Amino acid sequence: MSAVPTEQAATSKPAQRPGFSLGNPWSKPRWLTGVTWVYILWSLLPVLLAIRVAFNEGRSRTAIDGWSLKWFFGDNSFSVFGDPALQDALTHSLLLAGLAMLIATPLGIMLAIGLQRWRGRGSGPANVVALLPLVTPELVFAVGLFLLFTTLLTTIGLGTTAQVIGHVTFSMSFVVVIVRGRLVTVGPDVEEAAADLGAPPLAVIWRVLLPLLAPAIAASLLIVFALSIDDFVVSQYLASGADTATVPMRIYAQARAAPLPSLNALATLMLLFTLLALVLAYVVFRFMTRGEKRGSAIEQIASIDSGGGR
Amino acid sequence: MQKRRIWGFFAAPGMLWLGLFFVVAFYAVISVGLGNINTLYQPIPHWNPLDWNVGYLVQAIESVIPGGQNWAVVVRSVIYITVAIIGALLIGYPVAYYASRHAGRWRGLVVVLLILPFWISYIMRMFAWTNLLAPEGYGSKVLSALSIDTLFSSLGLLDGTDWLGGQGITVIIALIYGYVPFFILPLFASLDRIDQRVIEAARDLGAPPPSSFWRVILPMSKPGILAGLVLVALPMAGDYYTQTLMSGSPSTSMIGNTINDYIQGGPDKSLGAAMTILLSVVLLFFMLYYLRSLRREQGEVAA
Amino acid sequence: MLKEFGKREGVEVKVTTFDSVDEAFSKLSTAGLEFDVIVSTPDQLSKLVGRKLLQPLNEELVPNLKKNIWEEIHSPFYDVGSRYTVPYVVYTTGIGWRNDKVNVDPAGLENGWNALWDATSQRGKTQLLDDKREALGMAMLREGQPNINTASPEIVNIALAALEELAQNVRPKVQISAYETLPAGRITIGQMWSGDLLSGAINYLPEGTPASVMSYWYQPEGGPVFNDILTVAAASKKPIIAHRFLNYMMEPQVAYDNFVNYVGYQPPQKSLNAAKLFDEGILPKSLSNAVVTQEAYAAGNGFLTLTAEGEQAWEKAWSKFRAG
Repeated sequence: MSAVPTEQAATSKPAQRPGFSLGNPWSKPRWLTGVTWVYILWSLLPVLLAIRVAFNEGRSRTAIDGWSLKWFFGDNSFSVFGDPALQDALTHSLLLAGLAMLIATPLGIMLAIGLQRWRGRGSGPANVVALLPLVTPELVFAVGLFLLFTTLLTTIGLGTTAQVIGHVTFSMSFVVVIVRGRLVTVGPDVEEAAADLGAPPLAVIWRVLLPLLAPAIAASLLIVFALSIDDFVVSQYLASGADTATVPMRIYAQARAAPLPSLNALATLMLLFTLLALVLAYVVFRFMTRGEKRGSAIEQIASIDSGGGR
Repeated sequence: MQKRRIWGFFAAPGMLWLGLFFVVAFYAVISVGLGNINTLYQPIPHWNPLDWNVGYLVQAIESVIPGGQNWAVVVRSVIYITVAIIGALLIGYPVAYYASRHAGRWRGLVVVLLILPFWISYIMRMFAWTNLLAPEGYGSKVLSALSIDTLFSSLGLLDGTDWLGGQGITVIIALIYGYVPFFILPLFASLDRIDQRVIEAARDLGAPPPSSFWRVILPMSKPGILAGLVLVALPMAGDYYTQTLMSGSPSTSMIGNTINDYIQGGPDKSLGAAMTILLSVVLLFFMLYYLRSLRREQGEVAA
Repeated sequence: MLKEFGKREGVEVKVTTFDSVDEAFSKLSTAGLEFDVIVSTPDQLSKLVGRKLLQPLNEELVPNLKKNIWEEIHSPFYDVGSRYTVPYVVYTTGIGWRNDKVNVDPAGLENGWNALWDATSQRGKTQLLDDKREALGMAMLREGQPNINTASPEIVNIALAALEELAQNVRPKVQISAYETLPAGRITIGQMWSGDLLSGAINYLPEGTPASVMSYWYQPEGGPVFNDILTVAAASKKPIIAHRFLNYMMEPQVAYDNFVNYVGYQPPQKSLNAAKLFDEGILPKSLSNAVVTQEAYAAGNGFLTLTAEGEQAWEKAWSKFRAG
């Protein structure tokens, strides 16, 4: 396809070089830059402001008012560490995220490997089912699980177990997309080489494939953690009481009334844990893929995210 | 590869999990929606297809057709979602375009900043806005100073001065704010894949920049745009928390609120399940469309 | 105060709240929830008992009922013999407002409820209780229909039309958080419970705002007056401690403490002298009508359990209203 234009280019007038003159129409349009940066500010400023308010001295949640850590650590009953409701929400969120991470990642990896290689009957529908949670609206999914646990699987019922199951189920598809992407990049060559050298299939998987998949595994752990800790709808539907409230649920419940900056503090802490996980995963990712030819790691993560949104 | 069977076994645990907690869960919705209720208003699912009772489904359908109880909600939801995705397109396309083609040395930073909203809980982002748009909040003050509130009032978009007082426009803007990152990133990836050589070819053939955009890049980005629009429209269809946080008034309730009220609120769980079935059927087409475009993209990457 | 009880008995007390009574019942009647004590309202009682969620009370473990509580509630008509319940707090439902932001006088109007219906200047800053009985009931009273336990679809639809008119006029938020939003000024007038006013005055006023900015009105004859109930859950793993908790809440000092320092809702304690509280400045004088007297309670109009048809009619109307 590129052969034809260059031929024609040789016969038409010579091309202008970009950035050549003032009136050059091919240079970067200024307004586009402006729009992008204005968007980025619009996107992030509200959250930055909410974080700043968490450090307020006064009670105002709408205006910046002094500096203090009292909403985090104060000994009054309104701070995050003084109010058991807020504290429990944070620990419960972390618990759910941790469990979801540990269960969804292995299941998702195995599912991705299996689906990638499966050529038999049923692989088509299986592929659809594996990816359907990505596009299902969370409400539909939550209603399904709620009814499942209250009519059929009543021995499990609502509560922490149900919440973990819910989180694992919708995160699994993300893991599948990530691992599949990596599998495609890695290609079958190395495995085939190992197999040709006489390694039994399980050893090929364990000692060759999984290490190659390491960056995808790191990314999966991170994404499952983040999805779980940020989740609202599924957690709320499958909660059984105060014990099983998560941070987003608390924020939702209190934001509708007249909250104090302690709520901002709680949200900031949740964000902090997520960013810690992100930094950790990034470091691990760079470490694991050192020496490999790759585009900017950031773009790789971006292409992973392009597989689905929430 | 030799042993083909083993790969099937690999997929088994994951498939069993999804089979139970996704497929059976959805079947539970069908069974409850096509089931009945007992004297204490708790739903009785009819698992056997031969027992299915279409009563609640009929009731649900009757409520969403013109003249039905929920018709207004359906219309309102469609309007909000349509305006919101158009807004996401108008804001998101230039940003994605810039990030993929013109960012130059800022590209890494821009992409990181665009990804950042993914790591922040949706609820937290909305919560930040409730603080801003409260009457004494910075957002309200800025909008007042720029006279945007009077502008919107005169256009009939804003009723009074309280942005959080049951305003549809606030809900729409909140939806855009909430979901536009989910539009930008896939679009970015898709635009990124457009071969630079095609642009250069157009340029070499003498096309001026606007024309090369409208007649080359835009058509090529169409699949990415459509997929992105579908991707953000789907969660909006199930959204109930945005309008509850940003408005709280029944006059802005969306279809997600209706389902949420039925399921969580009282004796009409079967009706709620029936409505969920209806919603899923309507959305199924869009869901499968997006999945197909996803598979196509993955296939392209592999090639 | 919950911690006090916890220390006394060697347990930890955890509280779960729900957004509305309907949601609570919904979650309670689905499987596997482990509560010991359930706070509810009398109209839910027969449903809770029918669903076998409650256990009958052991009278010997709750002596404070006969000792300390108003006689009117020893054997209430919703639970003759107090087999399942003891009363928690009493309240009326009426209109609360910020007198510094909006100037109304429901007592001076022919139909006091119109103070809310006509508050168009406060559009978007009003509240309607997120409770189908309270909301539709208020509309019925405004329309002059005295029976707030009716099963008649005609009357329910009249109430629905009135609520829709209300929504058009003042665009209310459908919530129950007035105890916070009214003092903070996010709501300036709305339907709320008497305890919301007192609780707001005690706990949630921002610095610099005196309690006298809040005012309350309720319909003196036929207006909703009722009480919440405390019950012991059938699935309770610690029923004896649950009983002791109920008894604890009926101790005069505890109930008083709860009232004045925490929830702002008044317990039906014989020893409680409401007038004294206002005189001593513990509660703001401007809210003197937010306290329920024994006479008002005896003459009150409460929300009772609806028949199945009634439940359907009310539910249908409420969903229609919620759909906007």
